Amino acid sequence: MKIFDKKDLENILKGYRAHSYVVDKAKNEEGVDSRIVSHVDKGSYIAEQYKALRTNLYSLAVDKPIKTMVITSAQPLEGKSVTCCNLGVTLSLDVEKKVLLVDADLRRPMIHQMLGIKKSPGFCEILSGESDINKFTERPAIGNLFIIPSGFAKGSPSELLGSTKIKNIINTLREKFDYIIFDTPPVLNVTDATILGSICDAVILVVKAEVTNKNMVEEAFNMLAGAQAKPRAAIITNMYLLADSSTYYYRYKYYRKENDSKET
Amino acid sequence: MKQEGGLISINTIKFIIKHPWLFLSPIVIIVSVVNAALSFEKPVYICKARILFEAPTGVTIPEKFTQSREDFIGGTFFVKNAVEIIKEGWPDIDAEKTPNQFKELKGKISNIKIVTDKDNKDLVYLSFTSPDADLAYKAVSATVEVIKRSTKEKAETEISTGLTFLRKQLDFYKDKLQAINNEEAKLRLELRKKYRDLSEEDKYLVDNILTSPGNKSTESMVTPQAEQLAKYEEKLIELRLQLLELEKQKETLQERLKSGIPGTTMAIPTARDIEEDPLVKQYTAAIATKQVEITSLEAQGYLPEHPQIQKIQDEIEGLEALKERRIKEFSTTFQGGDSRKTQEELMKEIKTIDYQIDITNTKIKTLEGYKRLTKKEPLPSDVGTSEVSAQVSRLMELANEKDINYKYYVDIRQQVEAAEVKERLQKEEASVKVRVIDEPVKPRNPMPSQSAKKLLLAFIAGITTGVMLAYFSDSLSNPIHSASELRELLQIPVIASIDRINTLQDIKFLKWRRNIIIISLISFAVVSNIVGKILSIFVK
Repeated sequence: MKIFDKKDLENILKGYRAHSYVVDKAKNEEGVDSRIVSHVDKGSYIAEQYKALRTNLYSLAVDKPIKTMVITSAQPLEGKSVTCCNLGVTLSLDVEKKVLLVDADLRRPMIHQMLGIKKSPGFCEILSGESDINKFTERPAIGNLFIIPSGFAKGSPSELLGSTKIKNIINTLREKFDYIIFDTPPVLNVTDATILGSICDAVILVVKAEVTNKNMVEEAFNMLAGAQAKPRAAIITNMYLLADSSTYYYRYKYYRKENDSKET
Repeated sequence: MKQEGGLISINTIKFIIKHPWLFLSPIVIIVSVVNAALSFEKPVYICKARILFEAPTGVTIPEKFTQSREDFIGGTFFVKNAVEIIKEGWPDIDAEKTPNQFKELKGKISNIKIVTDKDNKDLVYLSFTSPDADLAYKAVSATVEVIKRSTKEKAETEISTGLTFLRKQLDFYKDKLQAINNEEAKLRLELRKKYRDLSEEDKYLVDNILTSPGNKSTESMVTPQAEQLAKYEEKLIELRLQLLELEKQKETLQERLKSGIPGTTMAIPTARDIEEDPLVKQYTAAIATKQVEITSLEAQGYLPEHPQIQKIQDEIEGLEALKERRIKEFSTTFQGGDSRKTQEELMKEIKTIDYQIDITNTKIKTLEGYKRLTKKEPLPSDVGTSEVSAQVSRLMELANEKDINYKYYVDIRQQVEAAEVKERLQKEEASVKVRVIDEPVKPRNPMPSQSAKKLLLAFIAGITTGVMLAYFSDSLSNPIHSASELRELLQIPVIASIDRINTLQDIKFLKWRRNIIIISLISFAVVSNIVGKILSIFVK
């Protein structure tokens, strides 16, 4: 969008009013990170944004079903883990669906911290055969969401993920769950995401707005595409001062107020 | 893709909002530095004066004068020689005597402003700004003085130059005419002295020249050449007519002598008898008038072949034929009177007529020579061979020279008279006064500072720099800004746009960073200002 006159500027400033979602606590009573908005503040507009993500994901799966998906990014700290957790929680809101969240970032695992669960036993133990997969599929960890934390990696994570065993594990999990989400390390740093991406149904690239460089995104995309793990969709996070999201926010607030008044 | 065009890209605005310190820092830095620099500024004094060029009532300031004044004010003359001009009006200022003031004057010479009023071109504003109040005052005073002086000098010089030249020319021609007159008088005296010893022919020549208009006073004897020639021509015609009459009389007498009986008395009309006949008189007068007409036409430059002259000639011939017929009739019908003469008397009369014919021929020859000299034609071999002829020729030449020189003299005298009148008028015009409406006064208070203006400019420069910085930083970092950009880049669907989620820790960090930047900028502004003030005290 370009500014040519005063009117353009007014429209832009009106649409791009500064706001962001602020969490007042680091964790809630359950020990869940406040950024997992879909669980902590289900009525928030951010939670609605994740619901919109879920809807779009369903639409994406119409042509080619998506049961297993890898969530990755070009570089660290782009919001992969928060997105994974929120997406997992949002998908698991449908009680008929069984959703599993796997922390496949064996180098810097975050899921266990965010959801307030134990790190081990986890995915590493399953891959090394030290732990049984059924142990994690018996009951959900949070709400209706099943979680496999990262565990403690005793060898090279790439080698663990590159073993033939991973395919068997994923196939087993496919039978038990409707959706399996893998939180993976950044593409440009390690090859874990490309390995898993080539096995799973879809790779979703997370991009942090105003931070991630275009060249890096392109490079990550090309790396994944080269390893037969071409991303099927992208998620943009850290949106700030964007007309789309802010207008959505105001519409959402207005709608919510109306609903609340009806209920009372 | 980077968006291009427009006043400013939206991404730049977003970048500025995201990194306000990047935008604010240049503003604070530039404004602080300018503010610190302002501490070094010295108070400036301005001295002003107003001058009015005014003319006496009814006298308009000539355009030339106005033009020269404008050149003086706005032209390069002033800029180039300003120091010299001020020195002219203020002799005390010198590189050795007053080195500081002289240096200041040279350095700030462009501060002299001389502006003509838009509505009234005769009104001129002068000003000089300097940290030295005394210098400003003296420079303006000196400039006013020089303007006054230069205006007066210029007018006087312009007037006198032309008149002096004309007067010199007039003196030259006066001297020349005097020399001609002296030589002429000397020649005339010599001719008069030897007049008695001259031959008849020379006497006639001398008579002519001594009784010619040239013999009169200096002014009256000088007539235009054409007029002189016309007079000679008139006389020549008269002589030729006289000659013709004489020849006719001689012919009549000879015819009478042949036809008559010797010893008998004969009634023969004399020339006087014939002239007095009314018809003959009428014909003669008509012929003479026609002759004069031809002469005047020739004097105007008409050739004898000209149809008008030819026509008059034909008329003259017709008149002459009529006149001759009448004379014959008159002679045959003449019945006596006091002219009854014998053959001897007739013979004697014929001899007298012959003598008169000779005399008339000589007169004609002389006049023709005189005419040739006037025309500056070469003399025939039989004319001017003698000393008298040479002297007469010289006299004629002198008369001619005098005629020409006198014409120049009269012309220049008229010019001098006109110039003298003009000078009188110009002297009146030169009395155009330079009136100082507002005298230069030594300024007591310095000019109001332009700090606010300069700070505003610095602020604008800071904003510009900030925007430029933001623009270039954004261009260099080249991040993803929106879902549409990402979709365009990767050609895959963007299934979600999630807003920023800030934790309290993030906010605390942002606040801490903001405060640090604010403190840094304020500190910079304060410190730079203090340092500027301290340094300026030392410098001053």
